[in-house]
Amino acid sequence: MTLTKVQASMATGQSGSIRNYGEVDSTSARSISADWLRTDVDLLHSDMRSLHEQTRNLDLDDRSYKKATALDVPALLDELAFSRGMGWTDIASAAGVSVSAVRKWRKGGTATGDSRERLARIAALLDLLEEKGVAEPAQWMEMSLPLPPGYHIRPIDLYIKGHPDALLELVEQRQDAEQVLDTAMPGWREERSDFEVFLDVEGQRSLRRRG
Amino acid sequence: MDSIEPDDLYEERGQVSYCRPILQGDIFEGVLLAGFGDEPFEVQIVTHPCSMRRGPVLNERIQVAPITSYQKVPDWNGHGRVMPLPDLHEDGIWYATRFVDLTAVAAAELTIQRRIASLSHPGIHVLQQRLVFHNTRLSLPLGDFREMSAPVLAEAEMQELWIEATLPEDERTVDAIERAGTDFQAWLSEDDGNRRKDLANEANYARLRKDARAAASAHH
Repeated sequence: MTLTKVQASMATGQSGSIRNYGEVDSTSARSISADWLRTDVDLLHSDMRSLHEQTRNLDLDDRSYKKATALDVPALLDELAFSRGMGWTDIASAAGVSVSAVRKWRKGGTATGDSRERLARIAALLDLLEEKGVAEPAQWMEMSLPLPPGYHIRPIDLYIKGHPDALLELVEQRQDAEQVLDTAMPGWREERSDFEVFLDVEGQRSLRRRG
Repeated sequence: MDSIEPDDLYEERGQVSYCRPILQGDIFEGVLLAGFGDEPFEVQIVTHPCSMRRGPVLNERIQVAPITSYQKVPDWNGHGRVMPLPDLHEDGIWYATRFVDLTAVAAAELTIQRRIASLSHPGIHVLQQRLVFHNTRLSLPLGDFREMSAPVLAEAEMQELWIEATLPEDERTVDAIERAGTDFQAWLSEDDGNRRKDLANEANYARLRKDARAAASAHH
């Protein structure tokens, strides 16, 4: 809405949501106009973010489908474990199955179509992260996020909890780690540990109460 | 304290891959325990993985605790003297490791042929959590145990990858597996020990796994 229209609307009291102040000075009218424009931009930002998330998910769905079509379970495991370097426990957690199930697949056991799709989705996400500039995506997934002392959360933990979007937000640098966690895992601040891992004099990791 | 479902607790039941290094939480059958009579027991290793070996060699004696049948416990709290082992033999029966009877056996007793189950990494964290609670009444979050144990569990996993890559299935004799394990440890110590130092940081694991796999393939 243009300033002229705002002024006209104010003068005639056409809007039901705004009190008729009578004659308004130009500064006040501009303020109202800016207020509306900002609201429009905020709404646009929200719509754009929602659209971006939808298109990202569609992109990931498409890549996952192609991966699942091209590769069987042994090939997907080979890609994740050996080409990418993911650990078996993380592969199992990310696929939503037990470590023993992954062990059975490694020995030639059959996997469901769902499992194959979930493995393909992880592989597709790693491809996507790499395209977005993460040099070693599997390595990045195991890094501890930059958080205050007492928090040990890795990108793979976010993926396991069902938030691939959050990982993309991070690598695109749209939000920092705390902002991403506030959206994806609202209770994360309550998970602070009072203990810390430290290297003892023998060079082994040990636990002690945080100072 | 946390409980865990059988499928998440065990990595393997019945027959455990010979390639997997002997590790905390492993369960063995047919083990004689001094002072426990003449009947062999099923036992679980309770020693922390960091304390089991000097370099690649197992210590002469390893801490274990005997396993007996146990009641089904929907809530694992209130059973701090044991490590519940639900459905250990995949017959629906519950067993438990009795921490109060903790003892030690010669490492030679704990052969890979006698190993009948191994725990997943999350299963090992649950065992560690319960051991600490039993000995100190201190209950710590599983995430702390995950972080503390990460280097030694990652190393064990890499050693298994190495052995699988270097030894075809029909060549996996006890001696060959031991030699392959020694080769892996030697590889880890190469490069002025930098690979071993890199185990201190999880951010290096993906690269180390890939390097180990490549080196094992070249070795083979």
